[in-house]
Amino acid sequence: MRDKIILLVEDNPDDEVLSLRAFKKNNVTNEVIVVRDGQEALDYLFCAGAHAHRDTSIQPTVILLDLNLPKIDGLEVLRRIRADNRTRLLPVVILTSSKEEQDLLRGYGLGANSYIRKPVNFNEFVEAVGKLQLYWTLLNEPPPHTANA
Amino acid sequence: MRLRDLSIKWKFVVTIMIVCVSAILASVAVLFAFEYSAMEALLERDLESISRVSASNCTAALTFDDPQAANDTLSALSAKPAIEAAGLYDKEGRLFASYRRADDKNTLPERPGSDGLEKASHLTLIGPVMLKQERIGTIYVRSDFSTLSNWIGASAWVFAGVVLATALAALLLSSLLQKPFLAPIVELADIARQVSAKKDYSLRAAKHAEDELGLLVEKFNEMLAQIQTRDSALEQARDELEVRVQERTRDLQETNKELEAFSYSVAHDLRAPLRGIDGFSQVLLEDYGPRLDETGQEHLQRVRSATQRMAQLLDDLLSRSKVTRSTLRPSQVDLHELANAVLADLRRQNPERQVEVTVDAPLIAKGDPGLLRIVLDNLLGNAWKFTSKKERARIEFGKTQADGASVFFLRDNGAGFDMAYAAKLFTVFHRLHKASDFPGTGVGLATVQRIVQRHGGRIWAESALEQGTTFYFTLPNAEERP
Repeated sequence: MRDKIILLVEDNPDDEVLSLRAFKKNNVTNEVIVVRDGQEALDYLFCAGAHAHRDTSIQPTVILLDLNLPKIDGLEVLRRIRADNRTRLLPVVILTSSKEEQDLLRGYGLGANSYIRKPVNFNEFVEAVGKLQLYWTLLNEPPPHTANA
Repeated sequence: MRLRDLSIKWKFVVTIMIVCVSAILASVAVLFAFEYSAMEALLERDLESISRVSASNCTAALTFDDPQAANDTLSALSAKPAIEAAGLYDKEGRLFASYRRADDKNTLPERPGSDGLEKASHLTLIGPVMLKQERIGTIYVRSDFSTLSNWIGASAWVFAGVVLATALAALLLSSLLQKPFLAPIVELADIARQVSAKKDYSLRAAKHAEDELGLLVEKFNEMLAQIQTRDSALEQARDELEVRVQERTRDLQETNKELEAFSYSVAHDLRAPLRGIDGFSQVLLEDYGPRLDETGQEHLQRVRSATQRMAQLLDDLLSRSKVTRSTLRPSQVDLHELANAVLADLRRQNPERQVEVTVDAPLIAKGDPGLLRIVLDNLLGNAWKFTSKKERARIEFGKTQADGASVFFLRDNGAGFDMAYAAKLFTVFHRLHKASDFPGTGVGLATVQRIVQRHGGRIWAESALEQGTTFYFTLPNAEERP
């Protein structure tokens, strides 16, 4: 079985560094792919653009999606993930600063599997990332691989 | 129905009829009196001439003492039906000859009385019978008043007919004649009724003549024109106002949108750098902690706790703006239940605390359950917080009466505050206690006040240092406010 990939969609370099550090602190051994805007996220998932030569059959086990992204925002990314047969069953966790009712409603409305608000306190953030990893890569049964094809 | 409630047309007709009939009655009465006395005089003259003729016709019979002839002569009086009886007396006053109508019940007198006309229940004339300047006897003629009563009977019918005909003519004529007088008034009343019913001020009454009624119609129309002008001016003003309100609403909506965008960026964008500050402070502590001395480490801790405070402030500000923007959805709420839920949360957070709590039941209020929950979260949370240093903490929540209105109150025996600062109690970010004594952001009570005000209510507090605080609030007409 291939290594389970975590796709982190994050445009803020600080958050990126801190997230990766949080993964490291939780001894996360999964491969973490970081993409820095909505377009790149879609390119990665659909093997286009800079990721055109990627193996299509390999898809992340969980996508950690920020909402406020350059080029294409997180909700639009989510919509396109759900609209495409290759990706529609992928677990998507919204990981954002916002807890606006509107964002929550639209996120779940578009089929997000989970919605986490990034805590400001770094210790809490580390804890949250650890729990996320544990749940989505170990506890949770991912959708059958055939559905991704 | 009283005369004054009759329509103006019937008033006119009735008045004309009363006038006409009164006039004709007066004329008829005068005429009747005049005719009656004339008839009476005629009757008397008639009787006189009858008696004189009878007397002269009887002189021969009396002279030659021939009663038969005298009787014959007198019986000719039967041609006059009014004559009841007649008697001829000789020189000595003895009845010589007589005539009596068949139905006469009275007898002739034994002796004639003195000459003259006597008017009683009958008309009786006694006169001399003369022959060549010498009185040879006396004639007595008695008549009834049948002539007169017959005349009265006949003329009463005529007069009644005249009165009736006059009344009818008056009715007919006044009905016809009222038109030119009353048609403008009736029309005016009709127009007034239509104007009032349809609110149509463009209606006008027609002017028929240059008299007072014409003037009335003219002024009435002028009044309508003035109202119409004012009405259209008002309508125009209203339309303009509507346009302006729409403009303002658009502006307001835009401002609101901007405000929402701002809140969003506060929620999202301002928190991101905070995470960076906190996260990298932690990274510094973890990775470079050993190279920092104690003061350096403490400074980094301060950076971190300042970050936490700012994050809390942002959250509080956001929830406050949410309170302001969200739509009020009022329903019946039992504050007793709500308070117990809040207190259960507080007990879970501080299971070690012993607080004596009294909550009246039920405490029914009208309001938005979500917002009222925030009110109690803050007020009970404050009471819980500010009694934390008391040995025997007490919190009391209930309802009382003030100025004739029901007022909710929440009393604690906590730290209290100096009433000199009461005015600043509900100011956002303003705190009456040091953060080291009691933590907080100074947003809670400002939020509470905003919610109470949105419910049309009022909130105030009474307190004294170390004596505890009592908050009072009203929730009068939540349903009337949007």
